[in-house]
Amino acid sequence: MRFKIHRYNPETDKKPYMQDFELEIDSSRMVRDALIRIKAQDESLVFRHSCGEGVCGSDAINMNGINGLGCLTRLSSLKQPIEIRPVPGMPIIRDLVVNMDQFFNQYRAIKPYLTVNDPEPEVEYKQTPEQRDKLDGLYECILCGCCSTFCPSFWWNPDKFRGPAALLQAYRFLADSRDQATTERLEELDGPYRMFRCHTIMNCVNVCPKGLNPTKAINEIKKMMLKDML
Amino acid sequence: MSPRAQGLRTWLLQRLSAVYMIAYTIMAIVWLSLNAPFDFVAWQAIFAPPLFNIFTLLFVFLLLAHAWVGVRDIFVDYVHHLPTRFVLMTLISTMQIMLAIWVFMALFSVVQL
Repeated sequence: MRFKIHRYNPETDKKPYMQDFELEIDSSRMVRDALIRIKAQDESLVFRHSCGEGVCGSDAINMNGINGLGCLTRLSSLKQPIEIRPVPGMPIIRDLVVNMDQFFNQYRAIKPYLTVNDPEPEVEYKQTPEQRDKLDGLYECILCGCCSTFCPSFWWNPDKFRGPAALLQAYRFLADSRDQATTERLEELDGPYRMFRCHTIMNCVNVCPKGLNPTKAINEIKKMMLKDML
Repeated sequence: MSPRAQGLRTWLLQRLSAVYMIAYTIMAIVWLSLNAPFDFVAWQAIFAPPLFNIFTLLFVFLLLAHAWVGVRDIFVDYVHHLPTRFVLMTLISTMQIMLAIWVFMALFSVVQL
């Protein structure tokens, strides 16, 4: 199989370039398997990976122009030569590794934890099965960053727009029956930048390796804001 | 405008104005086909009833507001140099205010109360 892989070492290269690789590999294997074998050929190749089964979210890369997880993307699903690049719009550290600081700063900014003002209950916090159901499709996010780094609005304003991943998590806490900071969370997200940079382009929905729907979550937040205003 | 007003409220303005513009377009097509104008006098007469005149004026105002939000969104996305964005927004807003006054004058001149 033929590969074209984005290479850039800031210490030796003036600018990034694409390097060709040839590899004998069963096309039912995943892109991550191919990268590991290519690294055996050329150990200077650098990429992030860990669990290899779509749980850790560290191997988000851009394959033939589409973001995805290397460990969940089958080689047979890609046209050759397979072009592998780092996720777009982020500062490149080396080869396929990008600096995710801005992504995680936006995640931090939505306060991704429960805020409870009441005294703590004697027993555990309780939820009905219906209340718990509301968190399905939200809590599964692994923060790989495939969505936010494929969102044009996030490319233009990564310092101000929260991005689909952070907004999905914002809704995860807004939808939680135990959270008591609804008004503060909604106020924080208002304004022209933080959430309203979303133009329902839906790249996030197309690339999410966990099949989640940030656009829907953003619409739910808008509905909550409307109710809060009325 | 406060940051709050520029988020949810402009978004809402765009959505609500879109609903009105769809309703007006349907109404205008019906009204125009019922009173199909064949000369300038007939064309003027269509806009003479105050109700249709006011609906048309509201349509143009909302169209301009809708467009203002859309253009602002494009500038916020692509024009990151704040003084440049301010100049562009001032130009667009001035042009829109002039258009609004022009349409108001045109419609007001033919309305028959």
